[in-house]
Amino acid sequence: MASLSVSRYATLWLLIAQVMVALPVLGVLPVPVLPLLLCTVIWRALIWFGRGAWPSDFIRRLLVALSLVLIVTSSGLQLSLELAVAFLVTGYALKMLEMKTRRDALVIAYIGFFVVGAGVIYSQSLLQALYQLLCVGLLVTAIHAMYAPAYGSSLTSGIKGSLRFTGIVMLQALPLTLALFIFVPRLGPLWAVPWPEGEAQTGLSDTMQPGDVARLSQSYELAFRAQFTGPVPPARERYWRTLVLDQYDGEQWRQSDLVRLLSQFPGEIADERDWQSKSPVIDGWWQVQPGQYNYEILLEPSGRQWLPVLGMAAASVPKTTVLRTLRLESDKPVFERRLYQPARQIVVAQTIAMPSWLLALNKSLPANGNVQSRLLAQQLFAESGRDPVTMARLLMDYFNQEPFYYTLSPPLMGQNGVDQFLFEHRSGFCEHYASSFVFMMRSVGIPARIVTGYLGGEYLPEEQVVRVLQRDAHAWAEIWVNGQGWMRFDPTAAVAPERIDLGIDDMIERGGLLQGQIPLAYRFGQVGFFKSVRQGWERLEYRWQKSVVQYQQEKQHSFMSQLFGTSSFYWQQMAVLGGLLALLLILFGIFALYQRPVPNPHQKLWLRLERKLLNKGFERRAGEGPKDFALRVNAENAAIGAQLLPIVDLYIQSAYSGRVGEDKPLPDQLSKMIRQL
Amino acid sequence: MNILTASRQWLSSYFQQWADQRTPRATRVKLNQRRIYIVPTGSGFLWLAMVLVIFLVGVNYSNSLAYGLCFFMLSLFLLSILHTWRNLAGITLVARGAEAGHADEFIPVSIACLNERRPRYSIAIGWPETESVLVSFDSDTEQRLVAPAGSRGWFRPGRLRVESIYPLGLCRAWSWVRLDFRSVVYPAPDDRYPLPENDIADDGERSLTASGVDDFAGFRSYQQTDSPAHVFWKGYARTGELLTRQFDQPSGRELWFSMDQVPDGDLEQKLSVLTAWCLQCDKQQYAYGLVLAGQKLDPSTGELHLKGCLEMLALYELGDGMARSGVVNG
Repeated sequence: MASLSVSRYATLWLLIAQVMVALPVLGVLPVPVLPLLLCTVIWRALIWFGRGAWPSDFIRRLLVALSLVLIVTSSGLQLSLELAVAFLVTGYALKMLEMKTRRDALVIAYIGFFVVGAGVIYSQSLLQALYQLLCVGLLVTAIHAMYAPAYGSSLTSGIKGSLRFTGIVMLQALPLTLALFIFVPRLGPLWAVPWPEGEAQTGLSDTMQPGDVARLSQSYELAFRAQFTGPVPPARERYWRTLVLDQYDGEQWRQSDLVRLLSQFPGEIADERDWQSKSPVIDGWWQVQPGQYNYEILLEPSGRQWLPVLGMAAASVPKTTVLRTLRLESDKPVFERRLYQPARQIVVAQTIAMPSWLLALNKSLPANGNVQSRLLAQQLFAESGRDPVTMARLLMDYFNQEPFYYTLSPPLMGQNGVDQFLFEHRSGFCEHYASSFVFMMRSVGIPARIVTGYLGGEYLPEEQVVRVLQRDAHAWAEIWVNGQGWMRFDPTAAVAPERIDLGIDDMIERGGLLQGQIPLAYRFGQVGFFKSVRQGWERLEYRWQKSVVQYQQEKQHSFMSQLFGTSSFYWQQMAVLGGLLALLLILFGIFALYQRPVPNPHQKLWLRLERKLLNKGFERRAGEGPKDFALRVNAENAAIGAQLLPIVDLYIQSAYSGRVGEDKPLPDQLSKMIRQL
Repeated sequence: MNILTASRQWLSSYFQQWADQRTPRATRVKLNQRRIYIVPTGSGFLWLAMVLVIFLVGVNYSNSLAYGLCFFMLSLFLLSILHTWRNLAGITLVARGAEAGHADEFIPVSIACLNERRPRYSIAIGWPETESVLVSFDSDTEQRLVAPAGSRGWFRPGRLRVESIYPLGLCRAWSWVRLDFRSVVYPAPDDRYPLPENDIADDGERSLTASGVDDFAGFRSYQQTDSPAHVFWKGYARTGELLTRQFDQPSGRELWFSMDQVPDGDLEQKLSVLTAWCLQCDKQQYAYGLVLAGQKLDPSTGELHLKGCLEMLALYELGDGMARSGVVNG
């Protein structure tokens, strides 16, 4: 066989591809490995430029040992995705230093595909997808360069050839990929896999500072899916209650926990039985009645213990605990997808018992700060005739009638954040409204707390599934009304009712998120061009996430049901997939098989001559050579024959001289003579 | 293990027979769907394994981009089948000619590769017994190769392998081509026996050794077919005129070769010995003639005569020139 070395330009492609492919995952590598990787890349580049020598066996082994030690000491040997990626990328870099044969180069390119695969686990944004497509293109180019002829020393022609091939083959692969993507049935996860470590931070947090939920609304990650049997509540009723924040230190809201409560209310709380219960029947806290909705939730790994529930959690289910704040908590943090069915009961709000310590907790505020807000609250409280519900309504009206705006990019707020928000910026996200609402309620002695969770979610009617993304995160308020129990108030509804009715994405898509007065820095981002670009991109990203990234089992079911009008679609799907694949392959096959013989200049000329003679009524018989044909024509019509014979002679002379397959020069007068015929 | 290799051999020979039946020998062979075979290479299978692993990543992480990557790679694989196939399809190989050679030698041949006006890349051409060459051409080219001569007779080299794994190395497309060069392979020379000098002098003339080549008869002007050994170089240096020395060759002094003169051996061995004698005579400028059953070449010298003798030896008892099967496949 031919030499199996790697050409210079193939190496160039590999080097470029390597750097590009590794960039997105550099963030998850242990920091000490990074300089090592940089060194290997520089070393390899120097070799490429002819300024460095190949490392000796000893140095290579040293490098491998060093990187192993670095990885293991900095990230431990616990099996994690990060460890796997670290090994992959390091091996990828080190292998470059011993890449001498085509086989080595191929191994490197193939590892590159795996690194791309690892990269898409960490991010599936549109930008990332485009970038990874570019990387895949580079890898394909590099592989092509390995097999393409070396073209002597011409680097540019080799580069051009490989790029051209990549362009063509990627365009051809696109329809195939699309068909496969749409029709290949999606499976559920087959076994548990380690999830990226960063994942836990994308969900809700058990402390809340204004701005947290807004950050979440940038994330298109799936939070959970709810599978309903029977009726499904409308979007505005789908409050997925997850966290209850009732501790406030003047800046941050957080959840209560037993340890803190025991120190806050010594003597009043005897033990954990006053705070949490694992029993499926709750005794003494509240009474329950059968609920309307029957559903189960498939929660994506969150790394946290809390579990979203539609409305108030009435009782615990296996492996969970129900808390006095009417929420559900898992016994262990959720690191793998978790399926659970909340109790099919609802709490009778009037029957909720509130011990004095819990009332006290929900009224507590720091002694000072936010004076203006307290004054306003007292004013409204007086107006309401000291009635909590009326007070809440007044406050909602206040948000509704004063120029408050709903924004995803709220300005930063420092001390006296509530005052700043209420009287200065007047634009904020749901948590700003919820927290100032609760603050004012508490300031006049009404027990109140913030609840965070998710609102709405996309409903897929064919599957009866509600898909809730992280961006559906929401914060609202609950106040305690004697005789009524906890009542939900959502101040955001007063400011931006469409958030409640339509969901966050429709708000963005309608561009109706923000009007009026906003801070300068924010307004800059809103100036004409920037604004339209930003909004356009956001819309694009949203469509991408919704139609491509979230195209999983239920979405596919739902899409297929639309397509075939039935839900028993599996076999149709496979049939369509097979049919489409066959069709595409046949099309490509025809393109490959159908090779129209390209006539050479002589043959073209001869065909022209034959056409011309056919018009005059002379048709060449099958198996009749040019000369015989011309003689026959001559016999039938001497006038034409006199012209034709010299043409045919010249044709035969020029077409059949020389050797087979050679490109023969075409006499100029031949085509002229044919034209004149 | 033995059974495995044996069955593999049986399988491959069965395949070869099947392939030969489909594709008869010709001077001009076009690679088309009848002739081109294609299977994944080792790296092709590795690629498919990678597709599977990335599919599992997609399944377990419910990751649409991983699914996308996996499907893209699968599509590339499918497309590469067509691209690889297309790289070979339509090529026409024409046997342009082969140099003369003896059995069991390697014979330089010339093959024209007609590309049907599409550029072709990285195609390995060669006989399994020799090194293949890697060629790329964007117009018709002529390729010089070395072919194993096989046994004496019509030159019918074994299957020429034309293969390509371009563009991505995922699939290997190949074709077996049996080209007919319409040339002759002479028997391998066998130097076992010296020239049968004593048998010639039946009419009482002096023996060959006594006569020698020095039986100088005079000069004549040089003709292109004359051996350089007979050119009168000294005279050329003096006069600038090329003259050829002529030797006296009275009748009855020629060497006649026939089968009976070879002491032992079967037909092929005898032919080899005769071949060696012819070559030896040609080298030493003896006139020699050849008698085989029913065929006769009168004594003479020169290249053309040698060629005639060797061809006669090569084709002896092969029957008609068209009866080819016995030569190569036997």
